[in-house]
Amino acid sequence: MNYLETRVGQNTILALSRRSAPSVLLAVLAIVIAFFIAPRVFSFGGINAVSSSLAIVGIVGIAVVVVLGVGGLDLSVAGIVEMSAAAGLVAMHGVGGGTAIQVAVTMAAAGVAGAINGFLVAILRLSSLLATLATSFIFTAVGLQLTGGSPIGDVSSGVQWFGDESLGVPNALLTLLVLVAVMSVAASRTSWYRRALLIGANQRAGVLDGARVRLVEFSLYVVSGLVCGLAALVVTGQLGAFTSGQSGDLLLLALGVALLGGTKLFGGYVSPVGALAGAVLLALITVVLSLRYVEPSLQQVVQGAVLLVAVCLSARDKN
Amino acid sequence: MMGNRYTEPVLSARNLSKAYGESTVLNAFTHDFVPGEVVGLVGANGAGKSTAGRILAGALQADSGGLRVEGKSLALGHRAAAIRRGLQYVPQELDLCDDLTIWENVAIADDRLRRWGFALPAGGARRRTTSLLSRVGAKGLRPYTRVGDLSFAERQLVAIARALASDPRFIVFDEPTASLGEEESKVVQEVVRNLASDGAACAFISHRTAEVLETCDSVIVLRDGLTVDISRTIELTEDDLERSMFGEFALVSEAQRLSARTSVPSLTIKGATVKGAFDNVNLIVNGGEVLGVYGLAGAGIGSLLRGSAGLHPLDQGSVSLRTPKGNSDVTSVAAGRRLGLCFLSMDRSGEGVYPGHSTALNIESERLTRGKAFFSEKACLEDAMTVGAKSGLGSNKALYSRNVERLSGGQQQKALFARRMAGGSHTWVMDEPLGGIDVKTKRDITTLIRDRALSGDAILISTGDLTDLTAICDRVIVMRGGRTVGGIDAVGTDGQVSWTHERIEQLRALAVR
Repeated sequence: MNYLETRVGQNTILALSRRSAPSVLLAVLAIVIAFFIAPRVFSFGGINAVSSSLAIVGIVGIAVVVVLGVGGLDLSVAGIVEMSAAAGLVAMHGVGGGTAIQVAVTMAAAGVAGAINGFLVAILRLSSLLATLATSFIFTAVGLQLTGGSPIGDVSSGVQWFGDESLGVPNALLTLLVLVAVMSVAASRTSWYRRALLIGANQRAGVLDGARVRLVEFSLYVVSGLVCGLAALVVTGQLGAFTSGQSGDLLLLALGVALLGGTKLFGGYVSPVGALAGAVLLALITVVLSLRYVEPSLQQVVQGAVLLVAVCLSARDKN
Repeated sequence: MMGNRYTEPVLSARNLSKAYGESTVLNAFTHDFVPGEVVGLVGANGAGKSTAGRILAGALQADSGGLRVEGKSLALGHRAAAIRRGLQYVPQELDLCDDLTIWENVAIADDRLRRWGFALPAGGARRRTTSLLSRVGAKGLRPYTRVGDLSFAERQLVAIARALASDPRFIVFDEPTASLGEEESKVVQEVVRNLASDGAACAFISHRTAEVLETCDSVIVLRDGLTVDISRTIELTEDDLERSMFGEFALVSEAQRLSARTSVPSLTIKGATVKGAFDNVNLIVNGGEVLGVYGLAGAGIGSLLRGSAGLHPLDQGSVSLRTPKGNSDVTSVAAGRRLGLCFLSMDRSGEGVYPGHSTALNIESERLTRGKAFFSEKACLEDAMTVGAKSGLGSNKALYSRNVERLSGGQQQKALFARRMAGGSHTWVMDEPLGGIDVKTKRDITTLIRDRALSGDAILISTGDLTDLTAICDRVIVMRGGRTVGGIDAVGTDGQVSWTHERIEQLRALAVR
């Protein structure tokens, strides 16, 4: 639990730190409470309901976490999801292709969007907040232009896999779990992301260590974009169709999930596992309260309160 | 008036103690501070000087013990209450707002301006600032100047002026001279003396023994949080003071100094020019050699060192490094790092440590993140400790897993040395590596640098203090106004290494003329 285990240590993947532990504990607590007040959550339909909202928020949350490592705040994640989902579907129908076209175009569009953010922030040195605020409008609008605002159906068969399940576990949820595992390994074991975290902790010291700061930052935005592309595939696969302008809450939920998990807002420390726990927590609250017939507006009060509790427990930077 | 000057203490401290986790940083500190007296708080890095100073000024809460201001007890750890009762603290890392003007900085701190919730009119605040500035002898400063445009010494004076806004009767100065040159330090010492003769009680924290003896009436020596000595400065010599600060330790004898100088150029700077900073500088640092650069503020030394490490591009000229495959130009820091050239900044917190991370990771950061392999090597505490031990950090496991921000300045410096060693460096550029650390750590670092040179590394170094510089260097180059104006070799005509008084004076004269 000390700095060394969580930051340098051998077993970082599952190790909890002071920052990520509260969200994991809260998530476990929420599961226990849910078991008593709304056992139906653990029925087949219940798990499906939880995981469908959980997966997409969790994946986009990871996209947010990726750039938070260097202290970057990406407000365009939901915009990238919208644009790349639309681009993939429109291109597929346009050329009459199948899964390969949809996946390739979606990921390419998302990667390009990430690269645009990366260029603005890492190369032109604009504030990440302002740059991605601007691009989020652009990406969302482009998505809307592509679809013309009407729903697009006929998702390719391969992408529909995300709406299916394997061995009783929804594939969307599996995708999130794999992504969290990959991101955890990346954060703790790769030279690339370790370097990013150090740049997040002290960029000028990173320069003296010989880090190519711009390159590292740029790469993070591209990766974050690609993760959003994955989210776009998951969301179209889950729904079997895609409508632009439906991702209103996605950005705020993803930001909430990332920070709830203990990831630092100003860089230097990320917790993918914490983000996963955060996503579980928020999704579980929604579903349990819905099962108890609590109004949606009141559900948000509970979500907000839980977010505050988690932040108080984990993110108060003691000095 | 003079008769009862020493009778009534302004501030009485009784049994103040403070611990962080298991380590006690201040242990039963007790003292009466009387008007008109400057008390020196001295000790090695980590002895508890700053902790004591901050607790005394009410800026930090002690775990136990009590403070009485003019006989009435003071709630511990309430800075605002402490300021109202006349206690003030001038921190080592100045907390001024760079983007605001001098008068705005003073106004923020001035309690009077906030008495009814309204700020004083700007005109009044500026007049008051002018009068406070003249009290600290900084009549030349204009209230409208932006603080970010001031020199470090001027900022120090502004910080003191701001502290005076609350009319304090007891002021703690936390290493006010640590980043200043000799001349500038004298100005600050003078200000402290003047405040004392106006009737304030002062605590002066420093690890420069000469300065403490000049400035203070009495001195409290702390070692590991314990008060080990309280003496009148009249009764003390510098040697006495150092001995009580550090205990006995062996001096590095200059005559016995070994040199491994070769005549193989390792770092070659040719015709290097950065407009407005330095002009046509030619230097060669040989393997095994420590080359010092000396000059007054504004001589362009900082820029030259940063330029030679690839930190900013040269307008003209080149920096090249000898490698097994021939000479390679240093075009960027990253390129330099790959060739084994490293830079140590004088700004340890801004350009050195990774805050929030363990000491071990701070040491291993470079080794773990460099290289082409996608997966970085596994990190382990033992690796960090092995390198750390070589740079004098010892083998206390707890130290290596501690957040690096908790380390003293000297320990941080050693950790940064360890990082560069672990990362593979054989050519070093060091900007003021001895700044802000105590005498004992200074010797440790000196030894460390000499050891690097003995093992064949080439080292380019600057320090503002000539005595420090000559203790390390095989050769010293003097710069003035961005140009090199001469140099002196440690090896005299007789073949002996000796920095005689005469030669040191020669260097000083070159820098000034």
